[in-house]
Amino acid sequence: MTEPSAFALSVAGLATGLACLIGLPLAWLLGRHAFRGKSPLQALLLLPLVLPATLLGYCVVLLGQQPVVARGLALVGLVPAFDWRMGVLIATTGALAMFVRSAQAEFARVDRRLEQAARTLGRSEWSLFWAVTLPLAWRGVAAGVGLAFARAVGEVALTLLVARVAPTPSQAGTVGLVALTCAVLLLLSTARLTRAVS
Amino acid sequence: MLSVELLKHFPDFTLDVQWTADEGVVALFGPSGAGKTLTLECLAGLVRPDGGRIELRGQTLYDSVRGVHRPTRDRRLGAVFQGYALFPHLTVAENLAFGLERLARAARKQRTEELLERLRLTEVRGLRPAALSGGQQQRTALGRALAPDPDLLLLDEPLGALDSPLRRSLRDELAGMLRGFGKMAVVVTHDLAEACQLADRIVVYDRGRVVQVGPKDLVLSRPASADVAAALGVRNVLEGVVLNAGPDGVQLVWRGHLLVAAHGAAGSAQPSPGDRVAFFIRPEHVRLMRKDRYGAADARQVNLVRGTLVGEVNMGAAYSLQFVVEGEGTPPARGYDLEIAVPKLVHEKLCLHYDRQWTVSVQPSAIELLPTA
Repeated sequence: MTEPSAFALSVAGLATGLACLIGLPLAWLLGRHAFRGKSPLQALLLLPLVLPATLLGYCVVLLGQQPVVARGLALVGLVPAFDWRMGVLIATTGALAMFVRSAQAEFARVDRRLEQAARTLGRSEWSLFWAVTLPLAWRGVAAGVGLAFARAVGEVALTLLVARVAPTPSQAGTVGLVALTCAVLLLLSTARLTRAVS
Repeated sequence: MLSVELLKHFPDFTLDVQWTADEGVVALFGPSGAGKTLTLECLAGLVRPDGGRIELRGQTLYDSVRGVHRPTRDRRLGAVFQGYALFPHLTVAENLAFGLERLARAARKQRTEELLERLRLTEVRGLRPAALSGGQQQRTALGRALAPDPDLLLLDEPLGALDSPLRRSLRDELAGMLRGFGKMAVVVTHDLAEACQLADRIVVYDRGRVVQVGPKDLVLSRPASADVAAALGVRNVLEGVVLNAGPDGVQLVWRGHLLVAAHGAAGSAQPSPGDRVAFFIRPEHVRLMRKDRYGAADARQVNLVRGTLVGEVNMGAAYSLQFVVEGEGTPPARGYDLEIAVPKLVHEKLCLHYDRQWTVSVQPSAIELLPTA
């Protein structure tokens, strides 16, 4: 495996981990509760499904050449140029969208009476999430992890190409191939998961 | 002792109920949409009422004035949900142990084993709910609710989703288990037979209100109003005019006939002459007078009415006859005045298929007056 491919996979892995960490409570919140501002939050989270996150990142990089924006980004520790942290950020937004979409649908499907039963049996909200809600929604969550990683690999590959980190055509090709293989494998396995649900 | 006082408003429905119950099993009975399940959800703390109070054995679970609303997990309740709501991803033993989290490991294991044994679930302890029979699911649900030794058991239409033969055998089993464990319980049901078999006390619901509360025998024999009678599925609810009322009974005129009722309505003042009153006669309390023995007994019989059989329904072991009386006025919209229940044997013996003209008699004690609303 070439250097850029290994880099792409580790960045994607990190991004997937982050997406799951942030995405789990978000998916639960969106799948189980109604609240003010739910629709805008949902739209914002799903934006990367419509627009490639890399495009957003590229915009940030271009905008970052404006001094004002650059200083703002510097405040949160980001350099307005390609940098691995930027790569993780971009891949995370894409991965988060995939994860939340998949997990949220499954959380929404969990029978509320089972949670009520758990409450009558003396369980706290925290305890019943781990004992009832998550185990019953695990397929959607697992599928979400797979989809998130596939998406993250794709985003990182695209970012590398746009940022010309993979300089030679052969290296770019390998990165693309690795991304494609990952995505196909993950999509196949998540398709099995989601089929088993419905 | 359980004391319930609840107020809950919805745009198209208001629950406004008040009742109390001692130890034993109390049934919340009434048609669908009467607010029974909502009451149970308020008791469990799953729904917060707009007002009222709930007290269980001296503990306040909810009080709108003092702002008390104990969370469900601190109410020490066991609930059996409609359709049971067993955890599909856990085995029978894990389902039973689910509410025992606060116990130490050894105690938890011991309690689970005890319940498995007592509920005859030991053999299926490792199975998931989907692999269980209806009876095993019911026992698991009951066991899971009883495991933490709750102060009150709540059962929402425990037999609601089942078909008739299974329903009957599970009802017998459930009744036995409720007696066996001796827990105080509230059962929601729209099935009168279920309410009668499971409960000691019945609370009759209708459109968000309680229309009668009492020991089940009293509610069944002396419904508090025509509405309760209708809710209980009582047949032959009729209307007459009081002629005379005294300590010996009430005389009333119904379709031009004089009827004597042995006693006035339950828990209500004697009616005055001229009052319109509702009363009912149970179909099994209407007697067909045999023509061959009729002459001699005639003088001693009261409440004799002549009429014609206009229809009948074969109920298997018995027939339900439809009888139109001769007299003033017309029968109600259903087309007949009285429903009369006779065993199949009697139906054959009296040749009721051919012989349609009869005189019927009703014992004064079988005429139940309903209090006027």
